[in-house]
Amino acid sequence: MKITTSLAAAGLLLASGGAALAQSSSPSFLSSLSSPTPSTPYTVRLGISHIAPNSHATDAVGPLLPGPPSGVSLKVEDKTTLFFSVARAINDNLEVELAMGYPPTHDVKAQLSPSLPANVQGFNGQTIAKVRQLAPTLFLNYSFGQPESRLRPFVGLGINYTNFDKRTSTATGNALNGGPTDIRLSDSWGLAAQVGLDYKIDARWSVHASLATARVKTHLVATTAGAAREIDIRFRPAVFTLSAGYRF
Amino acid sequence: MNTLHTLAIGTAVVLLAACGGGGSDSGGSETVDNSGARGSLIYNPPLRVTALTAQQFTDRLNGSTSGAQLLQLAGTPKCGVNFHYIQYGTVGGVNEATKASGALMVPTGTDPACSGARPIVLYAHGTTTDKAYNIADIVNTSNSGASEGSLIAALYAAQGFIVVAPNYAGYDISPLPYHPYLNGDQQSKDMIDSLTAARKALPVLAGVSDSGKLLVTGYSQGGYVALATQRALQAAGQTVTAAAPLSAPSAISLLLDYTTLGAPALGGTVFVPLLSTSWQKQFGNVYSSTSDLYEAQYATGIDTLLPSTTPIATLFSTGKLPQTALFPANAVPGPASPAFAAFYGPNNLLRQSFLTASATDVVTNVCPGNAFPSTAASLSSTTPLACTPSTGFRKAAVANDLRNFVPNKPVFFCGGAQDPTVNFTSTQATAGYFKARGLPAAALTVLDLEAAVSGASDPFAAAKVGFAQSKAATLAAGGATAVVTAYHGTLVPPFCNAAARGFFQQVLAAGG
Repeated sequence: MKITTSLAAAGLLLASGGAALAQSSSPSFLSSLSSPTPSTPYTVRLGISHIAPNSHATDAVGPLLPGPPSGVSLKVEDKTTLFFSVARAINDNLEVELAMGYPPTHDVKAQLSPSLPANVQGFNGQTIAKVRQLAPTLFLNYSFGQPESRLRPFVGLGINYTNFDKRTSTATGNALNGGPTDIRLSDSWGLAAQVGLDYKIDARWSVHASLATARVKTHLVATTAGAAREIDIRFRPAVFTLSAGYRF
Repeated sequence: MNTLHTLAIGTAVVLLAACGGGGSDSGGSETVDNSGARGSLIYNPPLRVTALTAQQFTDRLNGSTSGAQLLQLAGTPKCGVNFHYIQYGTVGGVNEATKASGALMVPTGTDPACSGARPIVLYAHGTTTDKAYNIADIVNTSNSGASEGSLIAALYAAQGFIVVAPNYAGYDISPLPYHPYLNGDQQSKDMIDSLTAARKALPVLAGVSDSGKLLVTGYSQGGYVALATQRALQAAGQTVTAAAPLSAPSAISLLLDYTTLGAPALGGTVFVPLLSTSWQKQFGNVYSSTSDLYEAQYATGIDTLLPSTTPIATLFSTGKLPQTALFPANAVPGPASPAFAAFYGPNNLLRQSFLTASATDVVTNVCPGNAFPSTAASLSSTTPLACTPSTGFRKAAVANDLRNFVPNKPVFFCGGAQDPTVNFTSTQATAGYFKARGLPAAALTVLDLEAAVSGASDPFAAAKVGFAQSKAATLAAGGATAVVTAYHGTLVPPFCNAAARGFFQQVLAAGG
């Protein structure tokens, strides 16, 4: 249901984005669609991303924990989601791309030191929270070869913004933390980079594959009955994306 | 670029709108009461620090030598224990609103003794200089409250008692900038407020309910607090099933008169600053300046020194407090016997002028129950506090002395006659007063762990024998000094606490 909504949203975006373009570009967006060759430098891409967050989290610090070190940490799990981007060519080799996706919700699993007592060990590897992230990334991509080339490798450098907009503590998480738990994660800004291949099918359509990463850091605060436990998480995500591009 | 910008914002807005609401879902409901009212439970349900099954608790105790010894004394856990951390509204020494924290231990498990209506043990902890003391923090063995928490969990919660144990105002998260040490009025309110707050959590936490039976106990400072709480509950017409003040400085004015007359307590250099700060807050007439009591090297800041986040050993080693030298080497009066010589020496804490004033007052305005040494008459006086001290410190001590009520429910006193920290005479004098005022023998039990086993029917034979063995082992390992050092804090507590549980079980079995 959510994916359907998102697709509808993408359609809506095309329409609204087009309307915006229609005002500033000539000939009109609609007429460009019926033209055999693209008249504007825009490409939209829709596809699938597999996100491996590769999280590295510190041990939790805060009241009523063992240690220090507490031996209580976490790991953010992989997730596949819908990918969407809009790119604008600057010249034959450079484009600016705003990459986003349907915000993925990642399982967060407990990672517990073997030194912790048996009653806590039972939680190891269990899903303690679910976290949804919005991670728009703005890339400047450089494509090798000529515009006419069928296969063009590219590299991109950019800036990533990550916002964890929805956080849910699971029943298991609450059992580990000791009660209903409010989770907050700080926003992250960081460098992003990608490499990939673009295969041109015709003047409008292409298949696009990329492997992207970014520097993402966040500070997590889990508050249970007034007790705030804190963890710093560093991500070195590997995001593999396969998408179809449409140029207009 | 402008167009792209518009497009980007459009995309972001549309995608966000498509995804539904963000925010945090805590996965449960929680009530937060920040009213600050006495007995308000700030977070309900309170934080569950950890949950142990009976087997896990047993294994945990077996994991250390001291734990294995405790297991022998307390018996194998019948119940698992959920350890909760409560934060509650209470008051300071002059009824100023504050908050404090503590433990709520709830028995769990399938044994019939671990569910349904259970009695509550309200436990008061002993003196600590550690501001971070948290009796609920049993997962962090480096916390100074962890061992006392384990002791009462093993003795009570694991045997089917609900346990409520406050950390007291001035400790842990409490914002009160001092601790109302041996302020009988405040400390009993703190206990009652922690109990009121904990009772609010019980209906929210599944498994057990309050049977209505209330057993009040505590060790050392906590023994005093337990008896003060019994007095306050009784005065308020609330239920107390029985009380067990252990190694209690309940006759606090007697102990301070003894200190003045040459028999100071081991730990006195810690107790006196805690008392002077607390009672100055309570009455405002203990001193006009800390230098009325304290030597110049200590006077500045002594009123905010304790409790402290700095370990007591560091406070001693850095000269913030002397380890034993309460009075100057040539003090008048000097030590009552050579055994007390260590409390007189260089870099002493208290001034001779304060000692002189106190000593003059002790002999001028004699409190009938405080004779030094004690006499049969002083220990059976019906008016032990019929005296009018002239110094602020003695006035405060008499005002906070607990020999001014008679319990109407059974009381069990316990201690060791050789206790160098809380002189056992305090227990004898308090019990003697209760007896003199008509508390029936059936409702008054005094256990001296040093006493010989009275016969095959001695209900406390095991405690006496166990204590004697423990003491002998300490003597063999470290000599007489080790016994003195370990006596109050290590040797006596397990046996008095275990004996108190036996007493409570007997009272409950008798339908108390």
